[in-house]
Amino acid sequence: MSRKQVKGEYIETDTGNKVARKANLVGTQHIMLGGKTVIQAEAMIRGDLARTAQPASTTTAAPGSNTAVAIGRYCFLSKGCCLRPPGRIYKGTFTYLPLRLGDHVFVGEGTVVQAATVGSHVHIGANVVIGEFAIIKDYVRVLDGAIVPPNMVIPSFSIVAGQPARVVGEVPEGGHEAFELRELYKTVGNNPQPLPVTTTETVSYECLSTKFSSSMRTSIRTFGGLSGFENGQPHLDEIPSFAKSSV
Amino acid sequence: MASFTPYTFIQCPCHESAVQSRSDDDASFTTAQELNDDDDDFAFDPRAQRSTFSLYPLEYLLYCDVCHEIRCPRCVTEEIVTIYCPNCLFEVGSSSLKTEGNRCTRSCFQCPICIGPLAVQALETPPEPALLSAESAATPAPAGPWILTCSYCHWNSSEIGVKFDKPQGIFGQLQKLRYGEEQSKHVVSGDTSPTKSDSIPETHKARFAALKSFYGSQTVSANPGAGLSGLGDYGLSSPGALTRIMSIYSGNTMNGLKQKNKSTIMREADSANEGFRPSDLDESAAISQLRRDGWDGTVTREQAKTQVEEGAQFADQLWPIPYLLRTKRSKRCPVCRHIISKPESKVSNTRWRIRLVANNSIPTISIKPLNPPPGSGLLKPLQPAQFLLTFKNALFDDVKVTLATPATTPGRFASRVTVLCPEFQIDANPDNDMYLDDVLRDGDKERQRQRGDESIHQAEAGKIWERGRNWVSIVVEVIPASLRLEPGKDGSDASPLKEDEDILEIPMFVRLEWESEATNDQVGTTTSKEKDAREKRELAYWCAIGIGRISQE
Repeated sequence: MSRKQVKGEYIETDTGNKVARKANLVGTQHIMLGGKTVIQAEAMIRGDLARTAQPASTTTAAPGSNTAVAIGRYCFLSKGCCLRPPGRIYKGTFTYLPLRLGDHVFVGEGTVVQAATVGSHVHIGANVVIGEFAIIKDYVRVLDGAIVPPNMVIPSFSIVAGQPARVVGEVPEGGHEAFELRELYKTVGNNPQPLPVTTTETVSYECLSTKFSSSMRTSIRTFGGLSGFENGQPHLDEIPSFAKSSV
Repeated sequence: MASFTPYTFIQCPCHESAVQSRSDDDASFTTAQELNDDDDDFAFDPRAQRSTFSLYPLEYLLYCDVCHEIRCPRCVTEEIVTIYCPNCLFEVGSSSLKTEGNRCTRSCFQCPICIGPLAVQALETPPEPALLSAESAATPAPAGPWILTCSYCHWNSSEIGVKFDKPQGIFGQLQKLRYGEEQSKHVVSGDTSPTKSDSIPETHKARFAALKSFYGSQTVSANPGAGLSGLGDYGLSSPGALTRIMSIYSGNTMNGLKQKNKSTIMREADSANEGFRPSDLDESAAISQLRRDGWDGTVTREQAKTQVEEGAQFADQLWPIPYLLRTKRSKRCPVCRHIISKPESKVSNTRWRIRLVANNSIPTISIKPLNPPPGSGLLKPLQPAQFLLTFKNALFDDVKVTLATPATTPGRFASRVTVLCPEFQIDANPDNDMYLDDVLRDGDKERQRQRGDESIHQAEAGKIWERGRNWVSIVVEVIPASLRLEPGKDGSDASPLKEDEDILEIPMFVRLEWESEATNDQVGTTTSKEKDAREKRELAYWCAIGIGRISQE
């Protein structure tokens, strides 16, 4: 990362990354940024949790190859989010495995991502937890407050919400452009540009998610084919006991 | 409640046809306003019960470029392109769907308690590290019995006493465990062919099949050539159905005579292999289990609903749920039958072959307050507030927009609405030229700065507020109604405020006029010959614009 000497809020690199000075990047040698990515203040990337199971020689020989977190282009990591590579027992020892983000991935405020793979054009809302080794495909919208269980696979064009998360709807055909983060990228940085009038899609999409959460219209389930989904999380009332285990 | 995001919902034209054709049955539900369809005064009421079913956000709408009409998810006809498992993302052929049912038959299961995904795990102590091969996430060493575990709520299949011998083909193993060896095949297929007479059907499906075949044979023996015998094959192609139809239509006289002669008594099913099962009226076992396990041991309605088999009452009767398959679908215009949306057939491919979405044809409308009010952001009753509506043109042609709103919003609380500039023109959407974009945006900025110097930019009637390359902002003034109900006024509904009745929602009629190149799409209609001809187009629709909440003071 080439540091410019201007004292702005962000450090802007040659490849167009905008990293907030207050961002918390740990183990930067294990973090790969594709470019044009925004990392806001207090966002944390745990690059230190790199693969440990490999023979020590390879790790020392090629430090770049042992990537812990790989991020594509035009990603947006909001304030206070955390990207953390997932870990598990592998060949008898505990090891972390890389976390990969595609392009145009938005990560909301206070969200923790421990997925194995996040595809391109994915919107992850605020205060979401993505469990370990979850796989999120392209064009997925995770609504605010969702908890995606570990190992879950979310297919393309899904809208996911709830605790635990479930697919509650389908991204409509007209909603694909709303995942584009190029305009949002321009609005942050040391000399930000105002959001042009053109990005109305995102605005109305937000209204849609509030629609979902506030159940403004009682028959709102008619669009998107949602069922039994109100107040931001699906009706899964009175689950008797969560922490049950007999082993 | 405090936060409110303005919204625009657009009404699909399919709404009208529904009202006209079914007005008789729905007269009691529709408001008087809605019934005045042919009247020019007809104003759309977004609060009418019916309206909620035809209002969609722009993203959900498609646009048929043959009919030049908006199409919504409710009026398009869908066709399945691909069927796949949402968990393993494997494609399932439609033929195997018929034989194996609509659930994944690999090893994809959902937790019966919390619907989280289940993973296969070895029950025994951690395996020897050397035996492991790479990659396979859910399969440790080939040792010991295997169980399905949920990493969200920590349920595992050993709770219901289910353990597997091998980590592959869980679906088949589970079927065998659940229904026994010879039944499992039958259950998997969901087949309705009669079971072997010696086997006793256990599942609902199998019992239904047994009962059906039993009564089918009964009616055949009682009344050959008619009756329920054709039930199994609904298709008209079968000769049985044909004779049945013939017997229905070709005069009851001779058939009726025949039937009188042949009034043999039909027997009811009475043995288990005919699908008969006496219901278990002794519930003492269930009651004692309820006493023992308490509330936590019972099944919630949601859990019982997600089960494949009906009738689970206790948590130990819950089985892992194989994932329901999901589809990729193409959509057709209901009128002209042209495909207006078609995804690529491969599961992993997220591209679309055809995607005629409405946001490429009709302008987007965004709403923001002209002078952001301090504090709560709620609208003050009886105080005029001004809002900016920004229309952004998506077409590559200039569009003339005409707006119309009723003077007051429908509903109990009538707010006054004035559109200061109901007629304007939006310039064409230029090609995405980034350089030009930046230059023009700078221009915009300067203009804004100039405006800042002028200090107060007054909203004038008949003039647009601001204009960009392919967008126009206009001002709408609203005087929110007071939410206070006046009691004692006879005839008025004085019931307390209903849900979201405090939202100021403006019904707005948008009419677009533009000239475009004559259609030369793949249809090959007669008009496609004259390519240079300009065609006048018109599109009009109602939309509901949610401006904000009115404060309840």
